[in-house]
Amino acid sequence: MILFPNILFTQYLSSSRGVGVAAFTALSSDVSSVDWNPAGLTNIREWELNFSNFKSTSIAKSGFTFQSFGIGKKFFEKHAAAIRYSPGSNLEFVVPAAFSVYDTAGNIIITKFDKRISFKKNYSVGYAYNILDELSFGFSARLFDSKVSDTKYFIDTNNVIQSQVSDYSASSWAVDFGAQYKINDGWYFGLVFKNLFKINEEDFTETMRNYQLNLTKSVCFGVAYSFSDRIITSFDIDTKNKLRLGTEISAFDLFKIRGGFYTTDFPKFSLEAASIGFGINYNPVQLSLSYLRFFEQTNRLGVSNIDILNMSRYADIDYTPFTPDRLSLSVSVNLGRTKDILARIEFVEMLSEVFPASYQTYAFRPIGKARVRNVSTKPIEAKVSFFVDDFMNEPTETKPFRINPDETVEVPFLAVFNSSINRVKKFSIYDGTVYVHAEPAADYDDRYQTRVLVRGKNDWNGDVLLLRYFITPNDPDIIKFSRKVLDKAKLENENGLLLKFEHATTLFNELSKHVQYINDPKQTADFVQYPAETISLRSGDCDDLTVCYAALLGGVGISSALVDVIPPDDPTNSHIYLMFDTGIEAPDANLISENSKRFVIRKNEKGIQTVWLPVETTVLSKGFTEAWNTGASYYFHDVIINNGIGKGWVRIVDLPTSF
Amino acid sequence: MNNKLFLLLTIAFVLGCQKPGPVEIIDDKDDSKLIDIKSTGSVSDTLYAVSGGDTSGNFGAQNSRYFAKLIHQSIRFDRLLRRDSLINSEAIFFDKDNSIKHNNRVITFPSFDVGTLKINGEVLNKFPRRMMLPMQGDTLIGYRYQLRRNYELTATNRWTSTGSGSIDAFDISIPSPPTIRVLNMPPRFINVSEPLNIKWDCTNPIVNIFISGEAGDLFARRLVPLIHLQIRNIKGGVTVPVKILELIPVKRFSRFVFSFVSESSETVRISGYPEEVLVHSSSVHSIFLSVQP
Amino acid sequence: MLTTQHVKKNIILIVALIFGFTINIFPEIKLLSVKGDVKVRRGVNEQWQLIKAGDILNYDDAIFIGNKSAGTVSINGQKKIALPEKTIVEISDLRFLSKEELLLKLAMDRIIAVPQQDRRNELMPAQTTIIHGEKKSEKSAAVPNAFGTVENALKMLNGAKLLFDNKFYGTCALRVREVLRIHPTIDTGAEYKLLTANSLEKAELYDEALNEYVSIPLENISAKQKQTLQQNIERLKNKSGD
Repeated sequence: MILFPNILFTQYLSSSRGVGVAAFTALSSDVSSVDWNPAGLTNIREWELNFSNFKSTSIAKSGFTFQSFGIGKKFFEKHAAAIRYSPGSNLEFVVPAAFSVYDTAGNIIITKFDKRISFKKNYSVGYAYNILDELSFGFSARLFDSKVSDTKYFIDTNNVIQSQVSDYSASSWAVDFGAQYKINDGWYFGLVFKNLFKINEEDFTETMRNYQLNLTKSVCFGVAYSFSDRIITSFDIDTKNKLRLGTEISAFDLFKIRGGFYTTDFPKFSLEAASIGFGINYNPVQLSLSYLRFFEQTNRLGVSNIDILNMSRYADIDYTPFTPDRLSLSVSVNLGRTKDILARIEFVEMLSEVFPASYQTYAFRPIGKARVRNVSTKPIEAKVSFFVDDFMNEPTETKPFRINPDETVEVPFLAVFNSSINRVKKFSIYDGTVYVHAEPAADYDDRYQTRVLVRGKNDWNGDVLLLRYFITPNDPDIIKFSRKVLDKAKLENENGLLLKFEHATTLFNELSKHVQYINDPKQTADFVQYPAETISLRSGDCDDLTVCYAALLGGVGISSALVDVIPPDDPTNSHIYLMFDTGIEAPDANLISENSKRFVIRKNEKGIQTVWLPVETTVLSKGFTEAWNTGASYYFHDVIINNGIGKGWVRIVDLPTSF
Repeated sequence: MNNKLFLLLTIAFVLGCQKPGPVEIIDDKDDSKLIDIKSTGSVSDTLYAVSGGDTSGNFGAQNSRYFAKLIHQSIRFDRLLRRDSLINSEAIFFDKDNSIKHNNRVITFPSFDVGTLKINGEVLNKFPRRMMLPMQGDTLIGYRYQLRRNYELTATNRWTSTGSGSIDAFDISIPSPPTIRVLNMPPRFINVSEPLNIKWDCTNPIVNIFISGEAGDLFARRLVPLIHLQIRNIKGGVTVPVKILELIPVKRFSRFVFSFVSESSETVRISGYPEEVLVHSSSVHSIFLSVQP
Repeated sequence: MLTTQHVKKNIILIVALIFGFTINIFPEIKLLSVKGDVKVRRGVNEQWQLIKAGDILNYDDAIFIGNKSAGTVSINGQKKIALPEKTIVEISDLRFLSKEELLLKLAMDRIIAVPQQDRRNELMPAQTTIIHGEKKSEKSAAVPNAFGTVENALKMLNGAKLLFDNKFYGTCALRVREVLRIHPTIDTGAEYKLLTANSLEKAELYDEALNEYVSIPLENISAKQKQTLQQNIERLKNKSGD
């Protein structure tokens, strides 16, 4: 006695957005994916809270019903899981008691119902995994509870009719398996096997077996295509000949309009229902409102026929022949990372190792560069930040770089280290983090972990420009040393013009008594002692002594410069010596020497030509004069005769001074 | 932002506190709505019925409030291999004010003598009622009237009495109710797990079905009224749902009588008798059946 | 100790010889004859020492010819140069400089000048060490050998003339500049500026020569000099106009 076609329902009403666009298999992307397509869970970003309410508009005195509350979480980048509690996913029928029962006094005995049948889908769980960027799989399980309350009558021994309610219950888990696939140019595909497995927790007794939810198996396929940023159209079709068609249009960036059609008996296009919906994105909250209207209202107004009840086959209990028109409201809150990613860091190149001696220079010279890609569809302004924990007080930030869609820009970034980087004793590796954040967002879009190679505080890369950062004239130990030396020498009666010359001579000679020249203890040229260390250790190599002497000179206000010689025929035999400014002007050069080979005349910042003396510190033990002679000899040979400066293999690096 | 969020969620919860009502399922083909189940009352209430005269059992609770009754029944019996028909007339006038009590409980009432009582000109047998009373011993507590005779169809039933003592003579006519004849009924047994579809030939807008259990042995059969169904007769029959059939205490009795009753009744006043008098006339079709669980 | 340095220098020279570049190969300079007060100053020493005929002069030596004295040197045993009295010649000046070398050396002042310190990149905190108990004396002209050095400066200018006469125009111009830098008061008559300009012109650095001519103040020079100067400026203007 099949009077009606098999009435099967595979639609879900748990997402207002889903109701709005009708076809959601390819698009499902929030916690409600546990119904539509569990693979969609991978679209959750970090945490998602989801609330749904609905109101049956065609039923008088119906208020809003709390439909569901769900939590979704993305973890380990590629995994996502969700759990949902949906007290409002109910389907309940009552068969009223039709006959009247009177007591002996002729009063009617109130019987609430003959039968009450309720189906609930209160608990759902889902898991999904991103196998590839564009492909994800997922499964979900939904617990269906069925309960029948049946009123039974009997006659007691006094021939009085009594009634009693008996409850029967059944429950089972239905497991769905789904996949979603995205293609870059705007195509989305979804495939779900509904109720693929059923695990019965509790069965009805034989007498009630016909009230058990059958949870029929079906397969649903969905396709969506996004014509532009603003329009996306989708359609679903399933093995039960249901076809859904819908569109979502972004009116503004924040506002969306949706509409959909629900048809049955495919390939006939017999309309069952239509929907309209709105969405507002107000990060981190997404609010959706939708209205679902059925064309045939029979059975949907709270009253139906027992034959329809007996005929219905269910895949789910949301969308049934009894579902009234409804207004759905969903609120989804994204916690954690919420904004759309506009920019990605593709690659980070660290341009240099970090030499603590010159840590300040990284505030002006890029320490690395990041290749940033605009992954959005609009031009963005991206800033890159860099941070190394412990060694930086806060991240540095570059100026904004404009990047067109799908283009990349290499952004050099700086590092402002704090002095704790000087605690690094030996070559070490630290984690540095590079962030990019694109306007107008406040949060960063992408992050890139990189390795920061921090040299020991005494490490040196051989670059004379770096060497100058080892020269610390303000070091209290250096000031103490030079003050002690100069106080002892009592130079106050000396000629004022020669004061600096005398100071330099005295400091050198005292240093020569105090410190011994030795070869680099590590047999390499990449270790430089700080001046205070040299004085304290009482020994140093060429670089250490040059640095130390320069610091001593700087400490008493004598400008100096490093002369860096890299012979072109033998670059490995490079050498550094020093020259300092005696402050004596060129016409007074004879006060120092009549032999012009012994000095260098350099114009200072004020345009005055003064006499500089080259000094070779490796001959420290032989005293100042010999060091001067050697330095002058080198300079004459390298610069005057061989023109090393003009040819570029001799470099003079002035050491800054505040005097 | 957090405050806004909190507010929003609160609204969402508050808005959602209602629960949608269930879908009411109507069964168009179910005759339950035509059926009222009336209580038959406890056996002690049916003082009259236990006399064995009332084969239909229809003098249960609903009629027990009348202290005087003039009853005329034209009854057809269907047993497995037998069909009988007869007319049963009975009458009694209880003396309400002089109840007989034992341990402060009313056991019964005495009844008046109304002289010679006739139905359609035939004299009813007058039976004395005797009772062993604690103080008086065997005592006459009044009379009852009964007549059984062959089935005969009459349009009107006329009760006449000569009167006796304080009760004056009376002459009362009441039209006969439409006759009832059950057309389809299983001959031997019914099954409670299947709805019982019954058709009858009767124009009375109300048809009563009394289901009684048959107790006692072959020689002292006794009927215990169990279920009284009052059917609104709009379609010449009824489908009795399983829910009602399940009421039949199949284990307590081996056989049951389904009595289909079309009745008409009215109340009259008789000079000298203080209470209302029920004048009852019915057409009864009783079918004896086994009931299987 | 000095010898060690020389050994090192020689090694460098040998290395340079083998690889054949970067280091100029100096010719052998030999003192052929000596008359009167002739001395040599080796390398970066301060002292002049006696020298005799037949001694070899190193490239970093200087030779001194006193009053009423004379000497002769040979270059690679071929070219002979007579050194007149009151002359000091740096041996390293006895060489020809290419135009490019000369240009570089002329620019050297600028190249080795102390750069303007970029205060934005000033990473060193201010250095504020002050030596207490110190009095700065007045600038004193009472330099021990100031008089003698002026004499020697004039001898070096004479040496520069000798360089010019022997067509060592590049080293001549550079030498005059350096002497005048240390002794700016000597050349009141602009004689040596004219010599510099002439040398630059001979070395075919016309723009530089022209600049040098133009920089000579006219009030301090004789009418004849002025006339020559004007002619030279005109001539060079035409040349540099090419």
